[in-house]
Amino acid sequence: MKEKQMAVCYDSQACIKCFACVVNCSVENRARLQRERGTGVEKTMMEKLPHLNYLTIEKSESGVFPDVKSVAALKHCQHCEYPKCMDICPAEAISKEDTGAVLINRDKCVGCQSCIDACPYDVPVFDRETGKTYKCIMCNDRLEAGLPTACAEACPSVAIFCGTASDVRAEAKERAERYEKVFGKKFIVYGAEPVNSHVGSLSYMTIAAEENADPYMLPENPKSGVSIARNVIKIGGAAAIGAAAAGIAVHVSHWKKHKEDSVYHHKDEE
Amino acid sequence: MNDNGRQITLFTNLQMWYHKHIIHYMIFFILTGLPLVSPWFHWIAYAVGVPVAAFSGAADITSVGLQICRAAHRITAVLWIVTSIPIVFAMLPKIGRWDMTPRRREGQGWVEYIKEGLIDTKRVYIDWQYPKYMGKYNLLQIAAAWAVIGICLLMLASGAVLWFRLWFSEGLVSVMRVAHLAGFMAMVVFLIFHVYFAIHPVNRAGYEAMFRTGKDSEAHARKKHPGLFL
Amino acid sequence: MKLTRRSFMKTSMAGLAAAVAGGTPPLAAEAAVVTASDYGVEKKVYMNCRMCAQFCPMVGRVRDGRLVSVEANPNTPYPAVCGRGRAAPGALYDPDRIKGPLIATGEKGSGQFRSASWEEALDMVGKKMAELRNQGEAHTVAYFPRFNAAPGLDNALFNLYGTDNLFNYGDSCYGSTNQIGLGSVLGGGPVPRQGNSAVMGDYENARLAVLIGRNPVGGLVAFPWGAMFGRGRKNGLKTVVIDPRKPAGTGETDADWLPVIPGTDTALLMALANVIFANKYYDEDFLRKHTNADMLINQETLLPADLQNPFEEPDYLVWDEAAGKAVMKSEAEKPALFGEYDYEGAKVKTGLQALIDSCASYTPEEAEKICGVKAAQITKLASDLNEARPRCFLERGYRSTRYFNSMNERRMVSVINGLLGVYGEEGGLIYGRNVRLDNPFAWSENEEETVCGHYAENVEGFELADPWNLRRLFPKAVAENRPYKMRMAFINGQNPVGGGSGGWFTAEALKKMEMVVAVSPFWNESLLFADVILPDTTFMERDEPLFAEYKATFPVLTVHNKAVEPMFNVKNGYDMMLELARRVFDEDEYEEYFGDFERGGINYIIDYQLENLMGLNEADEKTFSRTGLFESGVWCGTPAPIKPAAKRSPSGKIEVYSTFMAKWNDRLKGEGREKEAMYYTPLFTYAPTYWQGLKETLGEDEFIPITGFSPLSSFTGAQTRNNILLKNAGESLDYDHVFINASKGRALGLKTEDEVEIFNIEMPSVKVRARVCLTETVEPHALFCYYGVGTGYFTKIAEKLSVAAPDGLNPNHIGNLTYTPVDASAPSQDFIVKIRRAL
Repeated sequence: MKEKQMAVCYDSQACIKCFACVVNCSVENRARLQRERGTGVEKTMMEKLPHLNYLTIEKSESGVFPDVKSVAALKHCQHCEYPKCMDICPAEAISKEDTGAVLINRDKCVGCQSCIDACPYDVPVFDRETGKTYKCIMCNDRLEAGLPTACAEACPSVAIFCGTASDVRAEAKERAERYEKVFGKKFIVYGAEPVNSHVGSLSYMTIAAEENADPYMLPENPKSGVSIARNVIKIGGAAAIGAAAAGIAVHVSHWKKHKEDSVYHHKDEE
Repeated sequence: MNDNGRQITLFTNLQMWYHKHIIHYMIFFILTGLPLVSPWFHWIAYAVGVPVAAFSGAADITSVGLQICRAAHRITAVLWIVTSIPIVFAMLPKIGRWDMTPRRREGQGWVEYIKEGLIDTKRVYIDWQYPKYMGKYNLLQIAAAWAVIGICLLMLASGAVLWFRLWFSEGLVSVMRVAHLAGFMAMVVFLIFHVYFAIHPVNRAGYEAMFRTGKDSEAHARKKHPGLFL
Repeated sequence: MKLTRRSFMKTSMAGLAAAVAGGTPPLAAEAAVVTASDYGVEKKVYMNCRMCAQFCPMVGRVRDGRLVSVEANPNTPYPAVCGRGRAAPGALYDPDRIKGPLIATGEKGSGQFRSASWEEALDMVGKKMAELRNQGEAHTVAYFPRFNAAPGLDNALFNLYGTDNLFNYGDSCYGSTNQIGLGSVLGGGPVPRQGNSAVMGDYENARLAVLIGRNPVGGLVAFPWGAMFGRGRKNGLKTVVIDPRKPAGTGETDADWLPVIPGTDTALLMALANVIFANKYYDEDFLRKHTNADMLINQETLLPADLQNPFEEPDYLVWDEAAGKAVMKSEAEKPALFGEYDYEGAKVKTGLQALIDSCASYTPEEAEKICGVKAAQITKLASDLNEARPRCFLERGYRSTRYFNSMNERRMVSVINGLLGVYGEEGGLIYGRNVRLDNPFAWSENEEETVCGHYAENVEGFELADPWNLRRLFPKAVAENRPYKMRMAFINGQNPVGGGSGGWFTAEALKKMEMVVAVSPFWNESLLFADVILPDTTFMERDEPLFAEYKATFPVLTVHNKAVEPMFNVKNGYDMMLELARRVFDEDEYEEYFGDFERGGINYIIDYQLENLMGLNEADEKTFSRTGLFESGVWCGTPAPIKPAAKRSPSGKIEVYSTFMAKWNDRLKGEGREKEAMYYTPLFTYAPTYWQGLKETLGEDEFIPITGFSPLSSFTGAQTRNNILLKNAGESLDYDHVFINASKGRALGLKTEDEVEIFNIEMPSVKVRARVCLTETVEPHALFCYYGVGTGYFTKIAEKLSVAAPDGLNPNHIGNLTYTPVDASAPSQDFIVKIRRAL
């Protein structure tokens, strides 16, 4: 499994914000519709299909003129080591592949949107028309065919790159170190190491200045309240049910022991 | 037994009808809900999905089954609400006679009342004797009844939010989702106790009343539910 | 005005056949074997992208006759296609495309049209054109090319038809401001125009890039500048942004942003020069070796004291410190860089001294008062540049005419780059190289003077206008009926109403035409004023000749092939032009001019182009081959050497002291045109904007309209405006909104998403509606909108386009028909707008 492990890295410092990746991702998904669902090319190019924009742009501002930080960040699935979406999916439609990609199986998805509730990064998007939920698939089909992800292929800069997980991590680390030297501030490779025990490491990592973690949506301690609560309730609930059953069992034996001298033991009526 | 042959009505026909329906609904809710709680119960969805997938040619049987479960779950909820309407109209005006509120005697403090109620309950379920003060329901039954009404309302509300989740904020949906699961767990615990005690010999008369006659003999009631006659 | 173009070489078919002995290689390179990784793609077709106008080398993936997606051609050092290019299939399959010829049924501007056959439409156009020609009035046809339907052929057709009234778009882009602004320092002949490939930032190797006047991300040129910039950023490039708006991508979080008041950049630049001089941050060695800093100039006239044999074998007077007197530079041992001297009774100083003295009073503190940027930031910038040089530069710009003083700005940028000694240095500004393609079509010497030529020669204020790039003269000439009445307009892939400031006036001028014909695959506002619309194919549906006008340090040649068959009832531009030609020329003419092409097709042009390819050096010859070109879709030659060089300047040097500007300054002063002389001077002077002439301080609700490219939009054509693939992303940027400073907006009682009305204070009845976005990233004087996204004033166009934003600002629509002094370029942002909440 380890040999096939791939990764993608988005370098926010080398990014020139041309959004070729965003457009190409959408185009590649339309191509998938053509290939796999037999939809006509023209039709796929006419429809909005916003749920197939697996990369979306989130712009944010902080500060006050002229000391303002303005960021147009790319939002995408992080492909967590411990995908919370996978854990919660009642249809078992989500899997973590050998490549590292976390996939929603479109045929299995029932559109319950539990993954949306569970994702610590608020990534999956539900489409009313198809009644299913979608998110970045790390171009798993392309990776398995020896091609780069659509976003990496599109990047005219050298900001999104993909390859084996170890290669990507090494390149990312080298870049982060260089940026630290040049700009004199801390740069992180978000996801190269486990972010926390909840999500683990990420197969789609991000290079960013630590001070920009917020606008680039790179929380230090991503947690899914829903996932945690759900697990607690399931375990607690199972325990409570078990305790109830055990209690009942005890009570039954208690009845059996004392039923003779019970007013409720209507022996003659049985 | 000293029986004057008189009967008292414990449950009206409407209540009996409603309770039977609730049982059906609960079975449906649980069966259709369990596959969504855990993949351990996917066999339910699969079984339901097989005939449908055979006709629709859908790719994944479990997925089809899950969709059916979800739809059935919601339909059940709608039916439950619909059948509840006459009940609510019929019963709410008579809420004073439900005998489901704690009724202290004159001058009795809460602590004393609760202690008395608990001891009375113990008398029935541990000592297997007749109670001294219990009315139609003992204190634990009263508490459980309100709890289950609350749980049912919570399940309906959270279920509605989940069904129409696109109308609500993601935050609210997340909370309601957790609430729905928690409510389910609580409901299962309640049902375990409820069904057990319902079929327990201690409640034989109650069972008969709920499912067959709707009535209990006055003589028996005086012994089992002295509080009714105080 | 006579037009002299390149020579026309008639070759016989036999000659051509011999030249291509061995058969013609296939034009389209096809993937021989479809593998799983191609996902059923049958064909890969080489194209050059036309989603903007940079022709980035691209590969189209075709399956079952349909374009599925595109990618960058990998056979260059900087494979790059931006978001716009990636959305090409969205343009091709845009359901709002014009599907067949249209003939107007209502008055011009009403947007009412009916479908017509090609026969009917071309007959109508041909008849009118033939009529005019027969009356000897062919020259009254105004021709507007841009995204040409038949590159190479169509321009020739109109010239042969008899009109040289070509109104090209360049005045609203790089001309003349960037051309002459750069040329006045770098050289380029008696009227020095430096093109867009002359010099470029070495983004990849620079340590510091000062982005003033151009944003390398949104600002097009993905290949190669965008790719170079990205690599630069990976290498740790720092950027400083001088802009009334802080754009994304130029360094959102680490760039120093110097928020300059619109149009006051020159104050900042002069203060920058002031600090550079004060601290000796200039490269003295470079100045001595490569510039005319040591040239002695007359303090009164500002002209060179003695410049001999300009351009040919120049020599000029310097002060020889060794000899203690003024001698010609060729004879001097130690020419002085500084100082005032006496020469033959006149007071002279070195060019450098003149520069130093002219900016002495522009301290950063003084500049702050004018431009709004903090003095400390200016001082720091100078210091940072000094640390980084020569691996630094001030951006060379592209579309540059924004204000009356934009010429000063571009010149000062070029001067400062010279002071820092970055020309021809790695990490600084490096030179471009091109090969040149010829065109086989005949060219005629038309007798009649052109409108633009007439103004350039006779009208004050148009002396340095480029008569081949002066589309904004059209409305003025029509209004003045000068030098003669224009009667017909033929718009060939241009949007004159939307693309140049003064669009309202252009629309009025079009209304006066007896016939307006427009060729375009997509709707734009100019088409509303057409009588006949002829839809040509998009670039993806036709073969084209080779193309070589790239902006790289190495020459680039690309191939462009048809990816898919033309859709709907649109026509390949070449077919269209030939059918038009048949209706307009007689049989003999037609055969003479177009017969070879009709028989030979695109290959006829390509063969000719390759036969007459110019500019290859020895190293290029080794790597270039026709087969190789068609196999790879692109050929890249050897880069220009990285060493400082001037480009045929009067003094033979990089003229940090511009003698061209000195000459014009002297001439204008001599003609009593003191005001204009402020804009044509070799010195550091603050010349005001037009808007500063209207008002010293703006009112609470008044703004200067500024634009910049979004990387998801290009020009005012609908290939990007109405593109669903681009809108999906652009929506997240609110790219159809107008952006104003948050606190200024709040003071007006506005909040984000409010609808506002915007109008030019000089044309208050022409109002535009837009949604406003309050932001901290815009300087309070400025009102920013992304170029080419908003619908603007001519809202009828929104009825034709289902995806494009129905509102939004296009400043060109409401801009003035003013012209910058002397070169008559388009001051696209130099006016004042007012906004208020829309009712």
